[in-house]
Amino acid sequence: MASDNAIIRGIGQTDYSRQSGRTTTLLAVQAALAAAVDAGLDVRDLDGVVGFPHSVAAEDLVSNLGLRALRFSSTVAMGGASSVAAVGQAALAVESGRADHVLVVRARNGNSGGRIHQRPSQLPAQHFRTQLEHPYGWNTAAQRYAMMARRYDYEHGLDRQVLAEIALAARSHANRNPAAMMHERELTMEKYLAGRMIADPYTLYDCCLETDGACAVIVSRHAGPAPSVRVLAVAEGRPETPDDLTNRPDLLRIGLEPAAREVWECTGLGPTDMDAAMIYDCFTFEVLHQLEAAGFAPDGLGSELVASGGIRLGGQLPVNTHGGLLSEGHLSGLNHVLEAVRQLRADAPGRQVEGARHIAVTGWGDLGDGSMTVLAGQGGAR
Amino acid sequence: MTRPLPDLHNHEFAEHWAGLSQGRVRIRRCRSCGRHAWPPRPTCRACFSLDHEWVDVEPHGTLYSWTVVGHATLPGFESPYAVVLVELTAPVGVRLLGSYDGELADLKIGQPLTARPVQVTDEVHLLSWSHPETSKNPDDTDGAVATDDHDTEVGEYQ
Repeated sequence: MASDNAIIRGIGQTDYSRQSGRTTTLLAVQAALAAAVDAGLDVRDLDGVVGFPHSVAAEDLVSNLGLRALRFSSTVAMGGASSVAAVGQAALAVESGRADHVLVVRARNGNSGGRIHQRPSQLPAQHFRTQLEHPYGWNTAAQRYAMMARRYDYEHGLDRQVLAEIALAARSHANRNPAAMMHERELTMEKYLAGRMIADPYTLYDCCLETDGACAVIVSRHAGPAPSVRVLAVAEGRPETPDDLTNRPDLLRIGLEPAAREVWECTGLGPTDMDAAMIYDCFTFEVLHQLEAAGFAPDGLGSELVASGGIRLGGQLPVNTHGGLLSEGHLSGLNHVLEAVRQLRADAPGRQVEGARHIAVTGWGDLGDGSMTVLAGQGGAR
Repeated sequence: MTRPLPDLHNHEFAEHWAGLSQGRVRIRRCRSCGRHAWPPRPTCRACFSLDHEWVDVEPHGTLYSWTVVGHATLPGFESPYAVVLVELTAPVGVRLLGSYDGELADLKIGQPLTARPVQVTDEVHLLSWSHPETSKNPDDTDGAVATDDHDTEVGEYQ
């Protein structure tokens, strides 16, 4: 969907930690309040909420923030692709007049509240998961996506050094981001290579963090005190069999492909117009995979972009300048939207992409669902 | 906690598990267009017919993809163990997930593999894939989980 009037008016977040010591409701409230201040709004002016399944509900926020004017709410269930898709729903709501100020909020105790394999699964077709996959010991995202990475290696070649560079680039960016969980933790090639095996080819440092914290975004039609960041387009897409990986005709065709196609078509912009990209980095290989699926590199040739240093600050396409899920924290990619906004406001000291006007943000979730948006700042396309 | 096992009474898959306990690999086929379907869904993905049947397939194929799990998170699984996705020789395009009985270093996409049912409890048989020359007779099943045999290191990353 092309968007003519939706802007990201405010952003807010909590600290990111391994142990918040707070409920997810309190985390959501804190991020929402911070976003309202940033947006120059009384939090009670928020009249729309887009949330995540099995997390803080609109009803919780009505009670805790006094959102008596709430007249629009929705929940997006695309796993990690939900954050960008949620911004799309918020944009639809404000453009249609259904609401004026829509809060997109993601709060989680992703580390202290139970590790990934202990949380209730939100994947589609649970009977395929529990009956046909778990009995063979195939039950985590790392194990499922590893199958895609191994297939990619067979079809195109996948060098350990390229996966390492994705992890190291993310960490070097996090080292410039005081809010990142890994801000003060350097990652060397030696340390990366010594990471224990999680699910071949993913070793420890190929895997994202598990994080406690919250992020919030407010989407409106009119700008507040902060420089406005326009939502040029948002799209979502799904692979041929979103309920199953095993018999997908081509395991490497993912939902981001049609989503990216739609965004490029709607905006009249292309990959080379992007000054940076925030790519959903649940694991290292997914960055490479999505760079290709979104058109930043031809199929099978993303490794060249990565290996040349292209995804680092100062490179051809700086990727995840905040450190991403790999090194900033796992806020389901809503933190990627926040970083894009900071960059487009020229408010990313120590890691600013000079003159950034357009930034693409992708989402990846479940069994290959995808979402993408292009955000524009000062001097960007209208 | 015991390892996760299929519910043999779940009617979506009961024929598949019953087949394995008889030494047969059974999957679904659309009665309307003849297309084989796995995993089984209420409708045929090709013609959207609701009319289907269960048929036997030959347990031979080639390795489509794999992973070696170095960090097990399910009870009853010890790392490292492999999970394999095998594309059947016939019907073309159908893939079955399974465990792997072989050297982890021998996991190479495109290689032929043969399946046998392995008994894991009194009632449950699961699919285990191995290289044809080392395939064991189905009658040799001894109740062990194939993946428990491995003590090799995780394969070198290429």
